[in-house]
Amino acid sequence: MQIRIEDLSKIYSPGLPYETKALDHVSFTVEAGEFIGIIGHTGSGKTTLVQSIAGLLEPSDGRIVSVHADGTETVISQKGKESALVRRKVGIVFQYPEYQLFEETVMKDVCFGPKNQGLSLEEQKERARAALDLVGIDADDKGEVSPFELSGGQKRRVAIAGVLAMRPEVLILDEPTAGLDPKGHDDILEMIRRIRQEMDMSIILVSHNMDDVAEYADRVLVMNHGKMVFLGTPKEVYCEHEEALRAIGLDIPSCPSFLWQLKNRGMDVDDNKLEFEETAQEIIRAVKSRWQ
Amino acid sequence: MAVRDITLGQYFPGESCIHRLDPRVKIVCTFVYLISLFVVKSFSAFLLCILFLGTVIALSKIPFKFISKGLKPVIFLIILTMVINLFFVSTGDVLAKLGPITITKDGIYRALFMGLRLVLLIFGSSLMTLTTKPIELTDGMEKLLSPLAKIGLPAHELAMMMTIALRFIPTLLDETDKIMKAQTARGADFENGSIKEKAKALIPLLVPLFVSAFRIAGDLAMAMEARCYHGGSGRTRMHQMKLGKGDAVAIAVTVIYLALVILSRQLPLL
Repeated sequence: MQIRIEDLSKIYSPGLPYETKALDHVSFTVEAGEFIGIIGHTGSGKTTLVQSIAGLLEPSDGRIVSVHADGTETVISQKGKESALVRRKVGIVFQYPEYQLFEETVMKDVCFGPKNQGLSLEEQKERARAALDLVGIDADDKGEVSPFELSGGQKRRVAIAGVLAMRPEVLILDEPTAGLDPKGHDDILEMIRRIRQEMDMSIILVSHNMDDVAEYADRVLVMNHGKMVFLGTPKEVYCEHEEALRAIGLDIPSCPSFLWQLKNRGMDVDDNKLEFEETAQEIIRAVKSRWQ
Repeated sequence: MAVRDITLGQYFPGESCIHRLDPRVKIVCTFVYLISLFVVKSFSAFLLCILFLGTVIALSKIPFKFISKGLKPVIFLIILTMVINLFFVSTGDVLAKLGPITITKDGIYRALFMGLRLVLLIFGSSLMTLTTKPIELTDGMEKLLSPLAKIGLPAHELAMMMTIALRFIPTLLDETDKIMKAQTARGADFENGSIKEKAKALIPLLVPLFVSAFRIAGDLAMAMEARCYHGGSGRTRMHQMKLGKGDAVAIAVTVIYLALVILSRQLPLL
């Protein structure tokens, strides 16, 4: 499923002294199966954008259209039964998703989504098991445990499984690694990569960690003050708009940043490298050429 | 469902002379105004109240539309009061009769009278919270209650409790909003269905909300203790409250207003 965002705007508390423009004419397309990273500061409109895509906020202006495999289109940013049905194909994992757990057991909590989709008990359980398996939680071991007894990282996995069990075609994750230690952080991102491969879905990842987005995303969307500033492959965005990104106050991923500093200190390196391996090669090349 | 659309008890930022009044003065004047509404006996005397309230609203520069939004959550209560008065007042000329229910002239009069009184009550009190920051309000309250501390009233503790409660209303509303959205995304339906289904649909909202509230309370208690909070004794304030010229004027106007309202009882013609 492809999702097209057309000229989307969102204004909070219109007409009041604290009126804020959270989204300002944003347009882009999420291709089927694509991994898009959205970065920006706190208050740049990232969360508003993804919540609009998930149909949880009504846009003030513009619309969101989903294009199905057979070419038919549905406007999802409007009320009505058909839109609601299509919206179900968009799953969203909120920031700190573990705070929405409520059931008595892990199994029941993960079944909540499928239950609301009207599936039979067997199907619910089967989907819950598959989802728990995807996030690396053993359903036999932890299925009957209260979700409140799990550790922080496990709670978050269970909460993500709760969304996966609904089998969305587009999965939105709003800062899924917030508040985790480095190990948990890497585990979650690896898990997302695995989910994408196994379930063949588009992924929209909201983050302010440049390195994560650079490493995992096909394309990066940079938000600032509710406006879409850049959209392109990580390489295009980070390497071509380095100065502009710095001006917004966003970090550059560690590799180009390191190369940039070397360059500033007089070393002849190309700072348009994103991955660790090519960065290392580039430094080796520069050191070698200096020796000769 | 918009949980944020609650104006009752919300602050409306501004720089008007009403905003700048000392919170203590505002509390006392509001109190006097509320009492005056119960002193009033006739419709014509209500004109005085409306004039007083209207002047304050105009001075505060808050759009009337915003103030009237405060009525939304209590509109049901007002209508209920009016209906009860309409049907159960049985004195006066009978206008219509249906079984045991009679509608009398007095009934209509009482219904309108009570309705107007309630509306004015709500406008008056929401005007105070709209023009006063919650922190100022509780500070003022504490100051006003402090003489009673001598007879054992825990003025500071009460004010602190109120400050914390007010401080966390927006936080908990945000939290509610977030959890509702998250559960909606998982297919929960908070708006449709029978009353029983609706009540059941609240569980996925209330359980996480309570868990959050306890977590926040624990964190806050820890943070307060870490900064050596130990109650009100010996605490000084960052903002000292001082009465100014505007406050004197406000008090004078309110006193004159109260006098007029009391006088209106003596003069049935007014």
